[in-house]
Amino acid sequence: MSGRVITITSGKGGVGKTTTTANLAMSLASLDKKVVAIDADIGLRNLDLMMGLENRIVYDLVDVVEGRCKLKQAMVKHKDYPSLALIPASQVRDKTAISPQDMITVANELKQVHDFVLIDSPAGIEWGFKNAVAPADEVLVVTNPEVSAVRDADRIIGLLEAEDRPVPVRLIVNRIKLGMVRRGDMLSVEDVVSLLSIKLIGVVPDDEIIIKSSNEGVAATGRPKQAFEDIARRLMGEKVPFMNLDSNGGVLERFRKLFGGG
Amino acid sequence: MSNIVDRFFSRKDQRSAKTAMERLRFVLVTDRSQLSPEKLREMQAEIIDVIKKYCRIDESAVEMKLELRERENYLVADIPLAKSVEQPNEEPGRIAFSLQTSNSSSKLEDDDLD
Repeated sequence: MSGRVITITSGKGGVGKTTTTANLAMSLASLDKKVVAIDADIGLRNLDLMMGLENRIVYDLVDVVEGRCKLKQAMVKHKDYPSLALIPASQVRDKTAISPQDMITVANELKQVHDFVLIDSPAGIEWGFKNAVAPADEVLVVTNPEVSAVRDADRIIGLLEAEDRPVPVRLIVNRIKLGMVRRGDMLSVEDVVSLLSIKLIGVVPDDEIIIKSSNEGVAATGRPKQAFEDIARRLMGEKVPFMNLDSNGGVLERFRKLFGGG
Repeated sequence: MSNIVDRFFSRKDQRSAKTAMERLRFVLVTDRSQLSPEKLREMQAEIIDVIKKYCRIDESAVEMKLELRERENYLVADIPLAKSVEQPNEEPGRIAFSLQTSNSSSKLEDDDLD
């Protein structure tokens, strides 16, 4: 088997990269794919928390690279999804402990026995980002409909396009608030796509449910869950129409509609 | 009624998303081209000096700007020629050119999605 290495990145921190990686990994696993998620944010690990695996970690990515354990020993099996494993980042070292070549070696070994190798990139455009994208066959850029997140996404896309070996890049617009978009106070998905001019692979609505599920370290429920599952299916090559986010507008929205406000 | 509701929802002349779009359009093309507004003005002055060696132009109406088209960036210039004194009825000529500044030569195709 030769799986695909997909790196999830964003430029700006706090846009939902780790949440996206965790939920995509869980969605793909629930669709019977063999998945391994690598936390490439050395020194600031969090993917373990999002996946509810923080107290099962024995070895980490740096241990693998420095030969203290076998790759298999660093893989933490997910409790709910037998076909999903996590390779945690080291919490005590920093990103210089790993080189792009190390990432390529690890990813190449993993893709022999997995359908998907997901890499959660750290924020920024330096060492950690370069490590995370080095082995990528594809990149997913996560952004929010906010000026700073869009600008940083554009920078990342520019850097990826300038690579010696450019790979396909697709966009996830996370935390869209439809009510605000309708009032004209938030960039719409179309706005963001037209500015960045790359293919869209998913739209995730802003939903408090995400906070709840990350508190518990479990997969998202409700509409975000559906959004992540749709992205997982699109990654698998299925044609999935984009979610109609128009239903279930806020109370004020419905009120405004009722009185004929456009 | 609609007006009252609109006012209730504080409809301004321009909504913030539109402002965000305009600001991002400007900042993205500046970031991508690494050409600051200051540098652009400098370049415009130099280009005008060169053109003036060859023909008379209406300097006050010269417009030079960076423009975003997909993932490609253009330098777009509008340079109206000055009206000729000898032939006052003639329409003013104009020079218009655009110069691509993009470095994204390799457009990636992906047929997974339409």
